[in-house]
Amino acid sequence: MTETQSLPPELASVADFLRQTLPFNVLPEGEVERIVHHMEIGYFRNGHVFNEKTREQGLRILRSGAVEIRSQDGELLDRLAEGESFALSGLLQQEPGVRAVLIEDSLIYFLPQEDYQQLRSHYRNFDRFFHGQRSRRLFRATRSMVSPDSMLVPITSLMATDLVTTTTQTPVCELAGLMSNRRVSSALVLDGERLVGIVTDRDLRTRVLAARLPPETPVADIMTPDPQHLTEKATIFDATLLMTRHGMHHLPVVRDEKAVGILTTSDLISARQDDPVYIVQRLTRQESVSAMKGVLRDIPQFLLRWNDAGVPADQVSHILTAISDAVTNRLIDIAVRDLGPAPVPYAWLCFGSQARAEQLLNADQDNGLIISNEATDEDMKWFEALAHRVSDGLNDCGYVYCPGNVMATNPFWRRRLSGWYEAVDHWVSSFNPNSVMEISIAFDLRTVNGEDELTHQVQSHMLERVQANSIFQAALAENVLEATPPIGIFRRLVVERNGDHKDTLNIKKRGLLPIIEITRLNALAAGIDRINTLERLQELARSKRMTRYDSRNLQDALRFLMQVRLQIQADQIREGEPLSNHCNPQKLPKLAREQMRDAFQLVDSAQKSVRLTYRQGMR
Amino acid sequence: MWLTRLRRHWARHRYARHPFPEPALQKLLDMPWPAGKQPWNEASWLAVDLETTGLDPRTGYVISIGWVAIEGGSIQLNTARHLLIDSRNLVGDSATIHHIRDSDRSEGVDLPAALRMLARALNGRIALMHHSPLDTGFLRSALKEQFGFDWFHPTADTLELEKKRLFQREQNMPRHALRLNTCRERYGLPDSQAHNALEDALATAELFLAWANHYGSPGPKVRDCLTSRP
Repeated sequence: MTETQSLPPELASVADFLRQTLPFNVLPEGEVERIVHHMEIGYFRNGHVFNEKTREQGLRILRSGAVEIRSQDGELLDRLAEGESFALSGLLQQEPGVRAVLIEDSLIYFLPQEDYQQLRSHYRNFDRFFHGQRSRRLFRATRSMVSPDSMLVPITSLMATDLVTTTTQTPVCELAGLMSNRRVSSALVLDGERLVGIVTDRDLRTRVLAARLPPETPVADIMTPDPQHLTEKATIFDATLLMTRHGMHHLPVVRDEKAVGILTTSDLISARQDDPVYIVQRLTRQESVSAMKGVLRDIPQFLLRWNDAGVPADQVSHILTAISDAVTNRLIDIAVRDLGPAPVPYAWLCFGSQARAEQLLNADQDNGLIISNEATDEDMKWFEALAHRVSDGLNDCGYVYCPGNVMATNPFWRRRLSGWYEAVDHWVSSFNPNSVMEISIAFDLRTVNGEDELTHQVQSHMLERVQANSIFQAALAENVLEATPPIGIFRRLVVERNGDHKDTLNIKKRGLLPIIEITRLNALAAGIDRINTLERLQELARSKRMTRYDSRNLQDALRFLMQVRLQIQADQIREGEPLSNHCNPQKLPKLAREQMRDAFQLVDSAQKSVRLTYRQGMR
Repeated sequence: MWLTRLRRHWARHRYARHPFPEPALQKLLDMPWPAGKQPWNEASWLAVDLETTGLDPRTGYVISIGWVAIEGGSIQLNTARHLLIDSRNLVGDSATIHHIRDSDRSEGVDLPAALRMLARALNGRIALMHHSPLDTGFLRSALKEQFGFDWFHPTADTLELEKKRLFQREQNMPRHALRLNTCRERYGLPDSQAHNALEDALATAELFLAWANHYGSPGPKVRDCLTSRP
């Protein structure tokens, strides 16, 4: 049949639809119209299966209906709805035996393999979309968000490389002469090329002069052995965190155990005035709560700047957590100045998001105290006083009192080590759904101030008890499954229908918390002592308690949702609106909305696997 | 159906000695009647829609024709055509209903050429329409007027098929239940932006696929689809 008439432009309904669909929206003008004429339309009933035996291979786009992609052994890999597409030939290469099963009657647009491949080879952006569909789409979204920022610059760009070095047997007087000649405040002690210690001006002052040691004393006697150090790959952010955490001013940089450079606090501060280190530094110098408030006032503006500079959300959270830690530490310092030194060793704990280093603005305070067993009742009063001062100070600084009263001021969260053991035993042996929810926060804990060893002991005890108790794990699992991701039966994002937050969804409650809780559950059950969620996920994959694939997917989903939440807060700061975790998906760009759907779907499947794994213990 | 076949038979007989001067139309006459027991998805179909002025072929005109073919059970978009008919004496308000502007009209093809193209597309295919009497009436009248040709073609009507299905299921039929978009809705098909002959033809073709796929195993045969109206 010969038909001479040129092709009609009027397949507008099909073309319009495609143009609103990923990734056809990236094709240049006219290209969609051209390929429409190569397409076929089919209608298939619920239950219809496409697999490797399907004669026609190519790209199938759902015009209406829904499909599930399942692996050879029936595992659900993906669920697609209107506007989404799949190419079985590509999926089969990654995942032999994969099939697509319709779960609703579907109208499907079909682009034959030849045309599909042609588009992929011609248009890079179109092609990228199909590089391992979906989970990798999300992967790319989070990875490509990283943009250069001064905090992420490797320390090699800032460190001094003309090192002043000495040996363990050199007399200190000789070293002091060398250091003053070279006008440096520290020297590295080497054994051959290996870094074995560090000596600073302050060491010479306090450990030699003040101790009235003879000038011939060998360096080995006064150096700080095995000093904290970083490798070349570390970023300025890592360095600043390590230094602020340990109150160090000199940080050796090491490659294969050989010293290659040294970094000082002044190097860091001179690098940038408006960065978080500077804030932390200033906080540690403030003498009163009101002065600290002044420093903290600028944080929202800094958050805006970091966000604009493309600092990834997990790093921003890291910074904000470091700031909370600094505030807490400074408040404890000020309190100790007034109350006198602590009578016995203790650990000041933070719980929840601060412990996980996942804070954002408007975090409340969640803290506790572990006190050494030797404390007398009199000593306990000192800690009560400390708790009140610090907690009040935190509240004044904007870290409001915890509504659930998870604070060191509450005797429940201020105990001797033995008391913590008893508490943990009690939580794990006799619990109800409410108590599980209340105490689950305590499984994310970290020392902010004091003896880390105390915290370690409590944490090990917790892990031991939870690992041994599958019924308690099941109770945690039930708690995890309570908040479901906002995906409706038609796989659309479900928003709130009315109230103050009409048309929005709570990204923290419905997305972030489920991921955090699922990860916590898995980490506890596996006896993993990491607290940060991303680190927990990495460790779960390393110890083979979770497949690398699932771990990566959850990490990507978490990073993405954190990024969206950061963006929401940044927008709210800019608009002067009150901070919230509510997000209107309609206001997101189409790609972000699709990615959000991907992220929520990953949460959904992670919850399903929790249900399967921990079901034995469930009632 | 038998009446259409009989009339077609007469027409064939009439032109048997002297081939019809229009080869495209003669081919339509030569086309064998489709086998009734053939499964629907092995037959070829052409969904056709006309936009016209008014509802009466004696006073109205064809403004545009759109069509698209179904082969092997799926719609082949490379067969889609949309022809605007160059006609100088358009009257009535259909032009406003159908968003056809004067400028569109002048770019059209003339009616005989359009009919020849349609005839070629119809060759070997069963016509498919939603509410066929109207479109068939206009086509038959145009072919008679332009070529003196009596057009009787195997035809399926989605409106009629859907009506039959609803009656079988003893559903009471609400008003507008048989409108194209209402029918589509019952199968979960997206709302169609009507009022362009090609898009209506496409919407009809999609409805037909949905109807056939819901027919029940093993699916309808050609004879289950053909309309009995002449």
